[in-house]
Amino acid sequence: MIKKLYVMSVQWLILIMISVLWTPVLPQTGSGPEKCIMVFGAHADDVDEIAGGTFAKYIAMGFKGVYVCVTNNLAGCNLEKTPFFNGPGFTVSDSPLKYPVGGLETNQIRSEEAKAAAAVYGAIPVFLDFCEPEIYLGRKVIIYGTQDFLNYNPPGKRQVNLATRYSEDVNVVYELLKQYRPEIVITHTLGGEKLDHEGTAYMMYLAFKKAMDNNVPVGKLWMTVNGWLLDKTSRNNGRGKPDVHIDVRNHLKTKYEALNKHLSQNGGSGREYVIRNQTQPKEVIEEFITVIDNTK
Amino acid sequence: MTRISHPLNHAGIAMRKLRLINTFLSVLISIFVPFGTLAQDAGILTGRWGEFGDKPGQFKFPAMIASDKNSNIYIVDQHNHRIQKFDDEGTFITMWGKPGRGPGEFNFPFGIAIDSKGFVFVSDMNNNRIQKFSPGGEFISSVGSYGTSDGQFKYPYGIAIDSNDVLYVIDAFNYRIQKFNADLNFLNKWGTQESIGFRLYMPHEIAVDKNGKIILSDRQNHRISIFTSEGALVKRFGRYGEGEDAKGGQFSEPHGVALDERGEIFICDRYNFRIQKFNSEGESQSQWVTSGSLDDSKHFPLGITSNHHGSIYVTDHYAHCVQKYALVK
Repeated sequence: MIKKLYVMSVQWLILIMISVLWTPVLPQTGSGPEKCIMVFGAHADDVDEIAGGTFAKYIAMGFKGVYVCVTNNLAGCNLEKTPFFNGPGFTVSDSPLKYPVGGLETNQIRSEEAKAAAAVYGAIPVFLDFCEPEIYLGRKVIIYGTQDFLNYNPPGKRQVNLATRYSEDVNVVYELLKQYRPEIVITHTLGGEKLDHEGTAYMMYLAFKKAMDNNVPVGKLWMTVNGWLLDKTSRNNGRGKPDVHIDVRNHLKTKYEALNKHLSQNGGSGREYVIRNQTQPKEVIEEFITVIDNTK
Repeated sequence: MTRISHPLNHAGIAMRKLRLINTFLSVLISIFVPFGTLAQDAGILTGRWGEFGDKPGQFKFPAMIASDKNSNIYIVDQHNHRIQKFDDEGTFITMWGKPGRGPGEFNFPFGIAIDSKGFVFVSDMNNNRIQKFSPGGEFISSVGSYGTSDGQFKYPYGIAIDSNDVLYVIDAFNYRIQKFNADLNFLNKWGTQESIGFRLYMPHEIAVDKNGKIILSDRQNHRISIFTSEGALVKRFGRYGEGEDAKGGQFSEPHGVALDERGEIFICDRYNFRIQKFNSEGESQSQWVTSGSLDDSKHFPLGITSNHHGSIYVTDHYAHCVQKYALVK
């Protein structure tokens, strides 16, 4: 009997040793990253567009999902004539024009859409509230820093590109990384694309580096391929060379269900919208470039 | 209550001249202009006050407006996060509020309504609550937080109070109207797509007539809806129309709604730069462009109210001012 117990104990010991050896060794002190995936989109619908399938897939695998809107979504809302105006849920006013919506309302509309999208994934929505470079005052566009913009004084933090210059703003993202200790972080590219996407990516990069410098257990930082201008080849076509390929064919339904929550952007025709914009042109394979791998 | 002189004294003289000229013009119009045309020019500008700023009598993006039984005018000074009170000629009386989340503070307020006892109710839009104040601005109570439960809001916009002091609140992103008593206790709610047969689309302002009927501007549907107090749809009218060809009954983003003593309905037709007047059945009566006869610039009407003397007051959100009109009978 004692011999049998001894054999069982040895077997258990071997099993425990094997499981320990199989766990990836991480360079950080303390415990490693948590099973968490964070996607940082400049705007409310960017999370779904750039990585919706990957986000859905990892959450289905048991990861905690954090859906981050970096700007305060004050811009980019066209209630009347999105490219897919007659999509489900839209009421039709017969308006022949495309009407932008003022900053305050846009913020409300897009935040509500983002919350609904995050709920589709079962993710936690987070709004960092950095300001847009431009917003609408009624139907008139006003630019950050102009007298009109100062007069309007919209809610929110500093404009997202300027925010990369200030440690207190970068710390907002850093604190979020400390809170969730993500194994995977996805965001826009560092080069090209839109100004606020670029600002979002750079701020993410700075915060991620800071997290590493301070031994916060973070894993990998992936960026989108679209708009990549940081190597010679990609300067020709704006697309970088991906090293991450995620098969998302079983998660497209979730992605598009979430994407269709952004009615003000795509009128409920999210798939056509992203295929036209080619944010992930292969559709069933979402691709990224590993910018930082802190797991090696 | 502190009463100070008009903050724009130098402009006051000009306004008095403007009123005299307008009165003269209105007499001329009533004599020489055929009746059919007169119906298109029902409002004559008789006063204007305000400019951009944060001093008393100045505004930053004024939103909705209300009047009490003494004809005092209360204006939501949205981007100053405060309420300003004036007499019916625009003389500043008092103001209250500052940015914040505490009692008496605001985060982009929008709607305003006065009950029969003179209490002032304000929809504190981005704080997702309704606040109640004394006529002089002392905080009394509040209700609401972000959410979908009874008494919670997703951005309360326009508010109105009926003759029984029942408060109606447009709960915009919950697509419903919530009802409260004057102590801000929840009473009822209605307005879902299932219950009214269509989906409200950025509803903005609301008014209640003497019979308890609710008139609501359904902004992005470019329509006006009339409901019973329990939310049964009585009538829906209007359709999209913009520009010089827009006829009476066509709208481009209708905002403010007001009723006069006779139950006639006034609508701010924002992107047609005009006020439209309807009878209580929703039939188009007349309209006027919201610019003065001495001022060619078009004004964006947002909020509107009437007083017991028949004057109409309109806020211009982008010109940071209030315009006062007299109706040509």
